Amino acid sequence: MEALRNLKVKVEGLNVTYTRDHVQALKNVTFDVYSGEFLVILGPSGCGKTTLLNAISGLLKHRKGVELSGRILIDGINVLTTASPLRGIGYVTQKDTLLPWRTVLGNVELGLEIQGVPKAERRRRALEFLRKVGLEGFRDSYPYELSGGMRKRVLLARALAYGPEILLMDEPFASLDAQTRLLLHEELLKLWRDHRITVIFVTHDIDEAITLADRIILLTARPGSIKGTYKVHIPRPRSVQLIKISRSFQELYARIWEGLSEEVLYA
Amino acid sequence: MLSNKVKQILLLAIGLVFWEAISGRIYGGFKLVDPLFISSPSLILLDIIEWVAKGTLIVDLMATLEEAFLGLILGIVTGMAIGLLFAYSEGLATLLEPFLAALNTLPRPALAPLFVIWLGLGIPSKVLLSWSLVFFAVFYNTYLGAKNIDPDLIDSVRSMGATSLQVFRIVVIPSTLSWVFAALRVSVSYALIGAVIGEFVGATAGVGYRMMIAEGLLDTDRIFSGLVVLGLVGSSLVQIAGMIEKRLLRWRPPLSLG
Ligand SMILES: Nc1ncnc2c1ncn2[C@@H]1O[C@H](COP(=O)(O)OP(=O)(O)OP(=O)(O)O)[C@@H](O)[C@H]1O
Ligand SMILES: [Mg+2]
Repeated sequence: MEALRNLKVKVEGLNVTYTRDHVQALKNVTFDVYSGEFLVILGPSGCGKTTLLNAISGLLKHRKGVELSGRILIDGINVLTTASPLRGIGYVTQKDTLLPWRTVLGNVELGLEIQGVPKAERRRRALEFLRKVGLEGFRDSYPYELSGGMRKRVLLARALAYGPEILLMDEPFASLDAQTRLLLHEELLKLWRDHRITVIFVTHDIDEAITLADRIILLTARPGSIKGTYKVHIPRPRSVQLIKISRSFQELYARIWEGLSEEVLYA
Repeated sequence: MLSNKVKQILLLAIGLVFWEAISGRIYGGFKLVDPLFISSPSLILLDIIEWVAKGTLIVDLMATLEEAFLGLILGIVTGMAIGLLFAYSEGLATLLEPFLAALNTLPRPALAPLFVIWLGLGIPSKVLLSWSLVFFAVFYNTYLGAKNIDPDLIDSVRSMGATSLQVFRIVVIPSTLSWVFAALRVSVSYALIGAVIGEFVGATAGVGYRMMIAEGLLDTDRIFSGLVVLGLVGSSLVQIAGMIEKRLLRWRPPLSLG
């Protein structure tokens, strides 16, 4: 089964150092992501999770004061050396990055606009994704008029509307209340299933990791390196509410917690 | 209770009647100050009517507005361009910053005589003065605006595959424009100040020019007429600028500190 799956992303011996204060954020990180997989990267605060996603998205290589080594291959192309801008990635960053002067619809159209999709087509696609996250009625609102959960939905719609093959998500639901978070987990899993997209999802929350993931990679405290990998064998479709009382969830939770707690104590 | 509007109009009326009275135009016995110094509301009104009837007020007003408008537009365009250039080129900014700061502290009206010598009595010298006031306001706002762009916004747009040019168009321009619009009202009044002061120094037409002529003739009525015209025009322009600003910055959460 494993051998049949296509490799989508390959991270190999990745080291990242912020030169200004000589902080090594990532150390010799190596892992594979398969096409269509839902991979969760779990690690304590400050271990380099955001750094890892920034590296994969190609943002880090433009930045001053960052030393990168190793390789990141997406569909066989090395992100760290290629000159062309990356087009196949959707990135929901840890911070809220809706453009405040654009309406909800204008924000969701953004990626399509960048790709040069004609206006009518980009409107149609953006509306389609707004509908999928249940915010059609807010198409003409400005970001400040939305609640935190709604903003996350817009960010998700924006990241998906231009049809990326890889979705990077950096603790996207960390600031939300428990109910909203569960709803969004459900919506995300549905979108992931419908669009057969490859997801790399970062969190420091074990519950969230198990609920969503096919596979969980646990990072050590800074400098982040891989501490362990856990396969989540819980069948899909999963109920985001009921999953937590299942036995396999609790067993996995205990195993991961054992590993994570050591790192939290370090950090 | 009377509404504030009514109260304001009443206050204004009382002020005007008082003014009329102390200039001795209602009853000679009340005269406190000679109209030569303070004119009077009725004299000002008569003078404005005469100014309109002669057909010169419209010419003067158009001249002043043209100067202010050109100064405003040129000031905004060049201020934004140089502001963005500085924001993009840190080297240039640190090199030239002291000179610009020095120029900015120079009281601009003091340049008016020079501008008139350079460009003559016509419209260009007033446009230049107007520009010199607007430019710095817009320049500094643009520069600050560009420097204050949230780097995460730029990152997020880049991660969608945007080129530098697209980042410029999608993030840099709109977020700097919001700073420029926030300075629009100030810029409009600067533009008008520049035009009028330029006319004081030497001109062939304009509201400020008429006021300067009137000064030589001790024609206080005309000076007051000029003030009334400038006051009305200036406040309506600032009001319009405020409306434009509000409309363009609709996306901002309404701020209330009260
Ligand atoms: N731009 C930067 N310059 C210097 N050091 C940085 C920079 N960004 C991150 N770091 C450092 O790198 C380490 C990893 O940061 P990173 O943001 O990747 O952690 P994280 O796992 O995402 O943390 P969190 O869970 O709190 O979001 C931290 O110690 C941080 O101080
Ligand atoms: Mg982070």
